[in-house]
Amino acid sequence: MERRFHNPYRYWASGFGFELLVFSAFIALMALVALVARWIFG
Amino acid sequence: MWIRLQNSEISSIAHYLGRLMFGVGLVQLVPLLTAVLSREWDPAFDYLFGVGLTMLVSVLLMSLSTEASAISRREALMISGLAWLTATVLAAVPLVLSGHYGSFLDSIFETASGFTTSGLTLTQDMDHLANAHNMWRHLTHLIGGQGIIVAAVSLAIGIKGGAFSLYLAEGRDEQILPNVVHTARFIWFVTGIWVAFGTLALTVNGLWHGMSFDRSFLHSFWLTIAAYDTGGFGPQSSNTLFYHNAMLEFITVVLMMAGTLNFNLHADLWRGDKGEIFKNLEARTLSANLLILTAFAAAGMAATSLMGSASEVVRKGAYHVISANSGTGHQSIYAVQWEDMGPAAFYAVMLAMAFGGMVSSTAGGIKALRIGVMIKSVVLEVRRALSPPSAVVRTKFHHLTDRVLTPELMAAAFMIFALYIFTYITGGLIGAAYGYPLGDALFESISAAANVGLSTGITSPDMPTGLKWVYTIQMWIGRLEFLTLFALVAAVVHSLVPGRRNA
Repeated sequence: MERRFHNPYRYWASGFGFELLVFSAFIALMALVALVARWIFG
Repeated sequence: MWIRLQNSEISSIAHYLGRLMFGVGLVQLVPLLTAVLSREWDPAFDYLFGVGLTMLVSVLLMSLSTEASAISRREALMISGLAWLTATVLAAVPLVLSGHYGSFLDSIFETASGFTTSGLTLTQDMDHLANAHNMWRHLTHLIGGQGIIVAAVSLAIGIKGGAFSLYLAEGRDEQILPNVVHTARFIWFVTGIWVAFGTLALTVNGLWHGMSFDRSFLHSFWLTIAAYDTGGFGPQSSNTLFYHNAMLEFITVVLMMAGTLNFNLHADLWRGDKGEIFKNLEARTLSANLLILTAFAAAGMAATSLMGSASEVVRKGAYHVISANSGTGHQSIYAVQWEDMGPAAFYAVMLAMAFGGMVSSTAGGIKALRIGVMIKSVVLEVRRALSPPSAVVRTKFHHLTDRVLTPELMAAAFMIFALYIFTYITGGLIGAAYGYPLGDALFESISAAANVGLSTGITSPDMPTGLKWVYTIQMWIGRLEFLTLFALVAAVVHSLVPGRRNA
């Protein structure tokens, strides 16, 4: 499907909030992976 | 076919170079203002001189051609390459006047590290560096991260008919909006929102922990642009270790992730297409890289006596993996402590640096998209080998749109991968030739070429002059991703060769 040049400013607030949420969740996942690896190999 | 530059092309290149340097001179007014507000009078004179010199060079260059004509792709490559080099030299002048650098080469190294968003530093007595000089160091991350050309295009500095060529020549390929000027402005809008958030969050955190308002605000602004532009400079010699603050580390890691995200992805998410981040090949590859390398780092650290605690594997292990992979280079350990992390963590961080973040972001390295394409290529070849000879085997992937994996895409990915590996190894061997341990030398070489900035301690004012040149060149090569710099060198060399004007 071809990308269309929709207005990227339109939902900037919800987009920014979504990014904040996803990044925070992913960082938490990385921390969890680190702890699980430590538990397995420690 | 090599074509020598014509006189008209040279004056056109000089004219646009002058316009871009005019912009660099304008930005130097910010550290000048910082110096005045901080009552730092010696630094104020340093920046007064810097602004004057930059503007003088700008005017002289612009005067070589009286009008701005449309520029070709070739001229755009030359302008982009020369703009980065010229800005690096001119920006170094106020820093060398500060007295915090051993030589003009050291200050050139610093501005090259700033503009390329590497973060390796040769600043001496950084803990007593004036606010104005710290402001300028960190602003080089902001300008370099967004791109000197992007900055100029977004301000529409009278670039006629070649804005898109210049934009591409800087190694950018985002086409978020139909007009390149609007695309550049959108990139600045995203940056503005994230920088405002980061500065506010870190300032509040700093105030909460007892810092004065002005110090908290300045440190927060600097750390924010260093993290978001994945640069890695810090206002203190011990970088983010200085603060011993988990919330600061968390906020800066969020900023690093924002900085390593492809700007096209930012655009898609801000347009409302939230599903894109989950089906995008590059996002998936980057996520897998981060999680796998974090696991290796943590597993290695768990076996050590000094870095095996739960807090350490998260705040030192996972933190440095993401700092490395995003190309930021914020470091929360002393250089000598890399040994304490154990070899698995050391090499996991090294791989994270080498792999790099997303294309169309401020991150460096090979880039997640190319790694994803290479993995897909291997799978495709295995499928072909297992299929009947008459079968037509194709594979698709999703990166902003659905795409077919073509031989051209595969070749381009492998070519850049090979160039990066060659650059990493060459720098590592040169470091080893100077007497440094091979592992440390390779780490430092990758850090420079992938524009990361993590250091084993090799990068210091005392390091050999030859190595300063090597890392400076590697930082430029990595930031401009080979093509622009090679084109510049080829054009200059060919123009100097006597004989036929055109091949």
